[in-house]
Amino acid sequence: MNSYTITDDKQIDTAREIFSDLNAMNDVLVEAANTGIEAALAPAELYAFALGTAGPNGAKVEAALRASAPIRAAFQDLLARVSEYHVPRAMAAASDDIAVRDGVDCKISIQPSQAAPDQVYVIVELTRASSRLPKVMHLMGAGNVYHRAELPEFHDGIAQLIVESTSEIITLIQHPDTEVYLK
Amino acid sequence: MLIALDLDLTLMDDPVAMISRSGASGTLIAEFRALSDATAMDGAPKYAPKPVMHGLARFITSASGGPNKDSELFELCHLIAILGRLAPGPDARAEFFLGFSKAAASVFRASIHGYDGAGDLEAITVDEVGVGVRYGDGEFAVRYGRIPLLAALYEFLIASDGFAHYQDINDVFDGLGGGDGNVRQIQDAANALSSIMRQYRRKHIERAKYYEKFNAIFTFLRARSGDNQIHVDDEAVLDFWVSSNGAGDFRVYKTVFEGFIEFIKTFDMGGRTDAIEHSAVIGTDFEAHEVEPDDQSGDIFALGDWQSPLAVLLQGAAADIKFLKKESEQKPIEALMQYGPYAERLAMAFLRLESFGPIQAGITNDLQVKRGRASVENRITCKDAFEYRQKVRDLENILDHVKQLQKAAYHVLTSQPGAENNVVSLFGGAPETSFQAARNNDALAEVDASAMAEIGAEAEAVFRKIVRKGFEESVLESEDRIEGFRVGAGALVAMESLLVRYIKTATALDNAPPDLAERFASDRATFAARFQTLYGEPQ
Repeated sequence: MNSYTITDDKQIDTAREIFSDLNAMNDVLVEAANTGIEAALAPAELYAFALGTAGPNGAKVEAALRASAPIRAAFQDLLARVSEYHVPRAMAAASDDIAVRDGVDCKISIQPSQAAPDQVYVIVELTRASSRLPKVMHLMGAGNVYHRAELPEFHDGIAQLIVESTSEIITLIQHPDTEVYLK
Repeated sequence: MLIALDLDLTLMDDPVAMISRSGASGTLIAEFRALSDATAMDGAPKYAPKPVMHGLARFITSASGGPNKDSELFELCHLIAILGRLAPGPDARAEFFLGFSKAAASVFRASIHGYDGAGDLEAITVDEVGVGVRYGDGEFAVRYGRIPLLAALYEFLIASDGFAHYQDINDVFDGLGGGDGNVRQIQDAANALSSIMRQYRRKHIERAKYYEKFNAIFTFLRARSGDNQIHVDDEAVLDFWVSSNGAGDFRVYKTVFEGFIEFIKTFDMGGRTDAIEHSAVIGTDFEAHEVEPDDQSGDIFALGDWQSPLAVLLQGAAADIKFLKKESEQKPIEALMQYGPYAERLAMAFLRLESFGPIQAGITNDLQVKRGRASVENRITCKDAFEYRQKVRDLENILDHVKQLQKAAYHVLTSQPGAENNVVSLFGGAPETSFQAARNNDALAEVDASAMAEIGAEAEAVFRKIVRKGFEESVLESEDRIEGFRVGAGALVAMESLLVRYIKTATALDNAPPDLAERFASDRATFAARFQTLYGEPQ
């Protein structure tokens, strides 16, 4: 027999709260295992994406970055914490497209390709040696715009990408509001 | 009333609130799933379902029942203060909490031992059990076994409400990194986080439906008692189910049974009722009430925080060993292991659940898939229900097998060099007596040293006789397999104990009039009549 003495209303109120807590906990556990509700984005997924190791979750993270300002803000904070090099927003609002972006210990420039007029070089130059060379370039544009590019190997502190001159990466680099993180 | 209106409006803003069937919002479920679904490189869960995700659910819903419902926040803040001293870089916290694929105590232990001394180490102590910090006005230690839960909590917090509080929470954590910290600072930080969690709970947990459930059971029991006592017994469960109006949750006997178990747990936790009143203040007298659900198997079987030992056998290293066959050995004890000691406390109600619960589930399923009236009408008669005595016999057979498994595990664990200590910790300080008790189904008794050889020989013979995956001779040289037996042995001891107690209680019921056969006949008529009312064609 499970017998309990009731002392006062306060005891009942407290018991009601505990009962509610226990039932809520059971519901969370049961429903998380059986529901069709899709899992939200986990911080570890965002972190892996910032490190450039997102793997199969990359599309999920990119979709979340486009859809959610708080997630973009969190991602930018993580980038700031983990990135070796950072190019901040340009100080002056330029009327012309910017061809060179200066960051701390790094520089990104755009140069036309002589061989293919519709292509340009994106040249990433590191002015400070680091034991960990960046592998990914994250571009955080104004609004919901995000773009990432895998970087080729650095030689003497320089890595070069060749891209279409009308590609999103060029638009973003040339825009003064774009911040660039190299990781 | 105002609060209820607030909740409804808030939940309506939640895009997936309507999808969630429980009192937890869709957002809460989605954010919980973000962690419970996460997997390690080997495909196993990143966070162990138990105790880590179970502990996180308990924290989120305030169901911890301890002296302070948010004490984990206090512990997390200490850990972050420790990390700030061990590894002061801007990315150290993210790397520590987010940069691993498997949240295991051993992983965090290695990580902490791996810091190279660049930080402020004067105030830090690192040993094999955990990591400690000394402030000007106090000190605190965090066990490695707690860190998986704290890591899950960290992830949950910073992602809560779609990362809406990310920056606020990070600001709180960033403030803990300095070398001049004190306990007061930790308490303030924990209180700031606690405030965010209170808002989250208010927004994402609709308590009204749980209150209604409690009120229904309490009012029913109070009316039966007639004094200042309430009695929760087997007949109360059945009478409540039979007398309920058939609407909502209480239509299903299983739901009623589980509601009464939660009710018992609630009043069992009465001694810790100050948790609610003092949940706003963190830190005082925490040490005295610290809960340590680490990864040691023995810690998870305490009454009041029961977790199925069967689940332990099916995860981690133990999962690779076929202790039990799914259909014939696991399934018949699944419910008993799930409800644990509470099944014993409502022993007759539990037998009814085992016999008639599947019948009702079958009827519900028939109706859902529109299998036709003939099947429903056939089930309503309950003629296919398991007889109680047969159910008890099934449990006895499985108990015999569990005892054999214990002997096999004993052999594996005692075959290792220096194994005495391992076995002692698993078998409660007296391996030989526990094994003897398992062998004889007796209470623990002294077994002299000369009997040990006989016991060992018998254990070895049992081990060799079992032809199943994981019981090959080679396991004696496999660290993973031995770890599986270590974890499994703890679960087997808990299973045996529960089976023995439940069978004893059921046998006592059978030995008193009306016996189990008579009870079954009477109950079958009761359930058939109730099913007829709920699901039968109108006469």
